[in-house]
Amino acid sequence: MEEVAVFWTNAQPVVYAFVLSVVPRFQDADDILQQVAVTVVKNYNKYDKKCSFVGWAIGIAKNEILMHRREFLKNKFMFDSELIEKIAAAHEKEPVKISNIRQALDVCMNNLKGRGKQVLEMRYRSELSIARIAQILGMTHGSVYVLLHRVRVALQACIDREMLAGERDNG
Amino acid sequence: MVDSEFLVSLFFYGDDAFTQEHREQLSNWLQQSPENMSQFVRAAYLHQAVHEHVANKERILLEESALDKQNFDYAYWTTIGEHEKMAPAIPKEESRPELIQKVVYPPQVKRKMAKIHKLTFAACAAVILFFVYLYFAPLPSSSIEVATLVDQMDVQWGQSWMALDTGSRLWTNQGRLSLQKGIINILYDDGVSVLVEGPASFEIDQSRLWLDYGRLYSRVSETGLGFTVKTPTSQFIDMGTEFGVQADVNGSSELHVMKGKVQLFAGTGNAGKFGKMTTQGHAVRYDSYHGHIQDIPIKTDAFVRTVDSKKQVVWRGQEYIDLADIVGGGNGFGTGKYGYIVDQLSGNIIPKPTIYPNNQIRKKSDYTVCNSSPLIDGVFVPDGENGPVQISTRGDLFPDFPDTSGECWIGIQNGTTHQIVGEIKEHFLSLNGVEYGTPQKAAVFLHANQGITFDLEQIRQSVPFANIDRFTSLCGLSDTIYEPSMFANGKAPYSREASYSPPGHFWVLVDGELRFSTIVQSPLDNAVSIDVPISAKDRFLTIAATDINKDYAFVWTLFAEPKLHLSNMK
Repeated sequence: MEEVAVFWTNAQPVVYAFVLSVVPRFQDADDILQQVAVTVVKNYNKYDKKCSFVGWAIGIAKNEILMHRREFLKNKFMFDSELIEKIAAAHEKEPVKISNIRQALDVCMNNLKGRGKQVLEMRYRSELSIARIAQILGMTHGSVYVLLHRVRVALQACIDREMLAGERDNG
Repeated sequence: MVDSEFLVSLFFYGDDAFTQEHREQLSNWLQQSPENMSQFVRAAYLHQAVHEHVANKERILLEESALDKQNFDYAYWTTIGEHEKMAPAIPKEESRPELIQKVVYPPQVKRKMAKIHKLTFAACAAVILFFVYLYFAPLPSSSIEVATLVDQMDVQWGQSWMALDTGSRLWTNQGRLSLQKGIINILYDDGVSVLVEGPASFEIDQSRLWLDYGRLYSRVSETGLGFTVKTPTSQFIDMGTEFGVQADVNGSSELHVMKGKVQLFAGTGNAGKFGKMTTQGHAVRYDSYHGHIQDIPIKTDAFVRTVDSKKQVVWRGQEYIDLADIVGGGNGFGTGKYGYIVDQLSGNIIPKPTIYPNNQIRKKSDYTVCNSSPLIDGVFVPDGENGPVQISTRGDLFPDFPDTSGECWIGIQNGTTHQIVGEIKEHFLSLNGVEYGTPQKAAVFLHANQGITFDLEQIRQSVPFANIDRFTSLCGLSDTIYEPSMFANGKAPYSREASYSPPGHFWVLVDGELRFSTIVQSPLDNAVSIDVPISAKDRFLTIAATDINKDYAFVWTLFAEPKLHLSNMK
């Protein structure tokens, strides 16, 4: 019984990243993740221990997404099932240690200043729509998207640098 | 054509701006090279990490109450965020319409439709509508039996029509059940046991229970792994464990994990939920007002873990049985009445202590059966003047009690309230300056020349989920005999400075055999610890006190915190 909890704790960030890369809205992704957690625990006796747990859990997440495909179709995000398979395979192949990203992000967020940081936090924390952010800040929708995009690219580059530096430090 | 990296951003932030065309473009880009896919995977991790980072930051700031308003006003944006959910929609920016010159169209020629065509058209429309309905209609809800109400105790349902008999089957889509008070035990068909304590509102579902508010304790079998408790703001997924959930009416909730691990998801709204794996011996609280989770001390005895209506047992995880509670007519877990006594003359548990007239007790040399509680065998006067003393209904005799005065004043009490007798005021007794007789510091006031026997077999049957392995207690004499304020005339009968005050002799027997005995010379002596092992075969536990040299007045003997310790609790 303990085993499944340990496996799931380790696998959850990878599964979550996979779900987000198909269903990017947190509310939808969280609903899926919860259902995946239930299914993983209930079907743990069917898990073949010779295989990767992460892969098995991602498979369950994939089925969960496809089962609820109809609900997500309306938001136009859904990729076709063939591409979802490929995204799942990519996540399984390259599981990233979320703790490393979190650590790097702490540094990178400290370096982030000004309106870029403001927009990011309005989007992620206050759940404001792009339209609302634009209205509050007196910007156009397009310029909010561009700003968010620049912040994302800058953060990604910073995280990559930090993680690379971390790997070097660890030998 | 949009830049590919910008497409990735648009995917994660886009909402309505991410169009069908963008989706196709991004799909193509992802399949162009493994590097593109890798970049996209890393972007998903970043999306996750930023979300967590912002949520964590909020939590820290709220806990420290240190909002840095110069850089960013979190409270303001929280308010804006909340308000946003209710705010009217903002019209989208629309491209400026081109100037269109007024165009005059030629009048349309009105076509006539033949009757047969009209009928064909109507039939086609009906068929299409039917298929559209099939596609979009919600799945028909069906009810299936999933659990049984296996026990209930002191229950009052919210509505009379909700009242369920023990043994009733419970099914999905049964609707909300409201329990005003009492405890029910539900056993799911996959082996999950759930105890719900009123007041509570809940709904049964397959491998799941919706708890609007109230308190429950869940014990999950191997086959029931993944059992889920949902509250309006949280979800608790069992990973092979025992846990308690408390859901408040304001949406906050607590999780207390006694064994194993539980995956918690808490929170609502588009920002998603907090995920936390909570392990054995830990507890967390989700504060719905502030929207954050915090660790709290675990409450090990707050949730009903076992109920047995036949034996009137409610166990909340206590690790011992309180014998003082049993003296008060309880089950050892707090159901006894404080201040009640076992009457030395009748053997009954009664609320108001009787003051026995002189010599009335001394004349009573036979064993008195207790008919008020199955857990108490009886009471007796431990006076050896006439030889061995009967100390159980089985006829066990103890030969070594001394020749005493055989006198005492009142019955054996759950508590330490000394009644008004002569100059003595009503007051709590104390050992070494510590007052006993409160629910937190339970004690049995058993005056010198009184004895009581507990039926271990009956007590054992009342706790089938555990073994009884030890009896422990403190014993000593009350030092209130030194306090002038406890006496109406302002004069204490003894002083701390005097060389003498009446001693007391304490006894503990198991099945008539002596297991512990000590003489406490005066209230100035430290209370003595008693620790007697109890085996599964032992039937009767007896505690008694006697006077020495027939000096019985003011020998206020106490058994403080008398406990039967439980082990191997299942």
